[in-house]
Amino acid sequence: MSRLLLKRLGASLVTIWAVFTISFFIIRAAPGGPFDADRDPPPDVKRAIEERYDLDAPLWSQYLDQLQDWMMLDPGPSLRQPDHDVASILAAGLPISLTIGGLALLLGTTVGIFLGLIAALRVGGWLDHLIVVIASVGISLPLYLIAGMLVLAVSFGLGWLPPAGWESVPSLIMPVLCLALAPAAQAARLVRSGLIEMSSEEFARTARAKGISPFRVLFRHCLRPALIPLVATLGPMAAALLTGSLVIEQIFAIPGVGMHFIQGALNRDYPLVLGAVLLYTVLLQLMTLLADLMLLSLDPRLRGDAS
Amino acid sequence: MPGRGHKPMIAAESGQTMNFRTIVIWISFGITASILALLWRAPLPGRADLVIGNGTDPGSLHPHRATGNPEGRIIRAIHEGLVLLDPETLDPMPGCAQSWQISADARRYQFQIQHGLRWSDGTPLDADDFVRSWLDLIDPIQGAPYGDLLESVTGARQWRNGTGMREQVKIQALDSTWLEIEFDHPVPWFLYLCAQTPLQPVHPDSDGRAGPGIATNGPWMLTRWSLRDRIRIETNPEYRGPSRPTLKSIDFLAAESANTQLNIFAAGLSDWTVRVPAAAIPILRSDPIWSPRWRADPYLGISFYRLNLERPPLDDPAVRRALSLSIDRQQLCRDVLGGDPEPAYGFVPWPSPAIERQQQKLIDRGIPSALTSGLPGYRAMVAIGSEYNGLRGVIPAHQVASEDWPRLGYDPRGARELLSEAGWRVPGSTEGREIPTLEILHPSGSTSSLVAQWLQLAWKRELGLDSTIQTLEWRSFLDVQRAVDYDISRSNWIADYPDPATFLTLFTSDSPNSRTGWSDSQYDQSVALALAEADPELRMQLWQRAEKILLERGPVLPLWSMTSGNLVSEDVTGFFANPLDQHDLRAIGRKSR
Repeated sequence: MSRLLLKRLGASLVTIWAVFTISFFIIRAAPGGPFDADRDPPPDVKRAIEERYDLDAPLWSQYLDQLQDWMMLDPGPSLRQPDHDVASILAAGLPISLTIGGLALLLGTTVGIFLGLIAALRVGGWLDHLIVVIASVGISLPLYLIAGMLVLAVSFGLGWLPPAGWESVPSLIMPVLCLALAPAAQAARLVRSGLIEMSSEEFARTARAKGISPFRVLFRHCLRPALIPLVATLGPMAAALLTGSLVIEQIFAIPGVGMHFIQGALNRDYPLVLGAVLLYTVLLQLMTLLADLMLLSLDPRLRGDAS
Repeated sequence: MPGRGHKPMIAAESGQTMNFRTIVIWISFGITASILALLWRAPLPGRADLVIGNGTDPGSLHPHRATGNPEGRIIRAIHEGLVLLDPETLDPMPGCAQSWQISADARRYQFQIQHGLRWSDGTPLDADDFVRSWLDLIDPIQGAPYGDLLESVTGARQWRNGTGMREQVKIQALDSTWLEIEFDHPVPWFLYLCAQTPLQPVHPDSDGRAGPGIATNGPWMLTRWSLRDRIRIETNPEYRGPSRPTLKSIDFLAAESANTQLNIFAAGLSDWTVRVPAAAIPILRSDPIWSPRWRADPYLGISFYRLNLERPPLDDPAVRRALSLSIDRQQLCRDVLGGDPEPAYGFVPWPSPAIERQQQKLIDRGIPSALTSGLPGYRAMVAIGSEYNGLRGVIPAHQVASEDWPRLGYDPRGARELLSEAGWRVPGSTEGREIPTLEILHPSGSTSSLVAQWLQLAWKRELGLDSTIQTLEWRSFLDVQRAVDYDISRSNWIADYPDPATFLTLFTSDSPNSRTGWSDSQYDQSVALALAEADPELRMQLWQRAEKILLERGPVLPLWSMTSGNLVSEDVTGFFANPLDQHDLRAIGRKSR
């Protein structure tokens, strides 16, 4: 197990470095710069600004400098918000994204598994059809539409929750619900099909023949192997949820880290973009590892391969 | 993945159950931890006396580095310049300076600083602080984006281009209370500049940064800066200036999306929002509930298209003129822009007929409001279509009656005749050269896109002109515009101070912001003469001459005079229309709460 972890850590470091390098050169290849505006300062002043942020140095030397800064975990100030360090900007948003994303992930997977279980129990029945339809709608409807309708209905129709902001626990309910929808739908579909497949296996038939109730067969015997496909997709899903969603953060004015991916790139805030991308990469590596460990615990056949 | 034919797992039921249970326990632990993390967050402040939906999250709050309105609104509240502007009339009033003297030629200003002023950390503030702050603003090494506002200070340009020194710049403290500044040419707008963001004093220990803990000198100080969430300012106990604001605390909410800002306002979570979605404007104007709260007042900004004079056929003045005359700006303002902005036929926005029409619109909406002219003393020029009262070409705007204003610059037949005379093919004719396809470049954004499509259709219909539209994200757009690699490109220009100079110096040959390839020695000369002229009347005439040249031969296609767009709760008092859209928070109060 520790050899596996060590191997994964090594591979992760290489991946992170590759992502850093590619992102650095891609964002620098984008036209325009961080200090462009409607109104240009005189050329001398522009040069002075670039000098101040080392943007006048050759690209490879900037790359090495940045790489070194990031290895020391000190990327310096943001170019658009020079009163703040990139590290502190990300540190301010991360707990918020983790909270909302974490809650959405837990809610989504729990509800999804539950719905998948019910659908599999009543396979072919109206409840099953309903859940399949809801899951399809949940996956295909764009988030901004769902969020907009939710705000209209819950905030302005019923007046129950604030339409946006980060002021109180109630203001988190709608963002979490919106974010949880896609993972719930995905989990429901995967668990349903997994359970249907498992319930036709010999062990399930045997269990039913012994007189165990259909629910107990599904819940106690089929659910675990049926979760394997879901757990396999959980890594990337968790990383995406935990690093925030641009749409949700924008609609609900949530100060998480999701917006930095887009705003950082639009503002050519090079260190911030790199920070956001690195954060996502690290989380993705971590979540994939966790998902793999969960798979190991779910599927004994994998343990032999791992060792 | 589970496959058919694998070993039944029922045999390991007990172990399985435990593993599964472990996972469930872990998940429950995760949920509990998340909820605890949620509740553990730092306590949020209670509601402030005033909550402003301030648009995008501010960049820097350092006066020398800030560039936008969201930053300016906060900086001018936590700092105080030498001069404040009357919230209603924009007349200069004492701020840190209790009085001032201006030489007859408006080239030398002397300010007497109030006694006993302090920074928020309790240290005294005197004339030297202004001298240091302003020299830092000019300092080329500091790279302040608005450093050029003080470039006409004697010695500043030389310092910035490397031929002079800091000590030679004519900003000096005569003693601890008297400050003197000298300019190369008359700068009659300098008092307005003193109230603007870049000229606010900066604490000696700020080291180029701003934030809670960095001393400022305004009636409020920054106490909380939650990134992308809110900035809170609270009364500064060390403030000794002339203002007596009534609000103890103010929150500035950051929200990137205009829809969200509107939602927050509609839910009563903010008292004033500076951004609304363009699609909502027609409803805000007409709905009886929203209309009294919607403030779209004349704003000293011009929306226009830049034309690339380095590319044919735009190097032909007849083509430029025809493009302009085939635009029904009245229809554009009404149908595409929601009805608030007024058509622009000149480059200096809000001439008197436009102001009169705007006043009428307010009266029609039942909002009594006295609008003042944006540029005191200046009689803007406008380019008209066919003859008007015996006048043709570019004429002074004040000679136009406000009822004739809307269709003044719209003359598609005249446009076709102009093209035909210049040897271009027009609809219904087979003679002349065909006008090549033009590309309309604009930055991404729904309004820009709608306007571009509307123009594309108008030019096709009126002139038979084919055009394509290219949309670029903002910085890529700026890159292309700066390289003058376009045919027609969308632009706005907002006044830094209420004087024609802020608009008309944009297109001189040595301006870094012209971006059109246009150079006209007569225009340059007119601008230089206007800048050097001390006599106010003569000065304005020279600016008129410059604007006339710009409209006759220049690289601009004016579209509309801009309006501000504020949604203000009826509880808020002291909010007045003014052409800089600057609403000093010192004057703002609340009816209730």
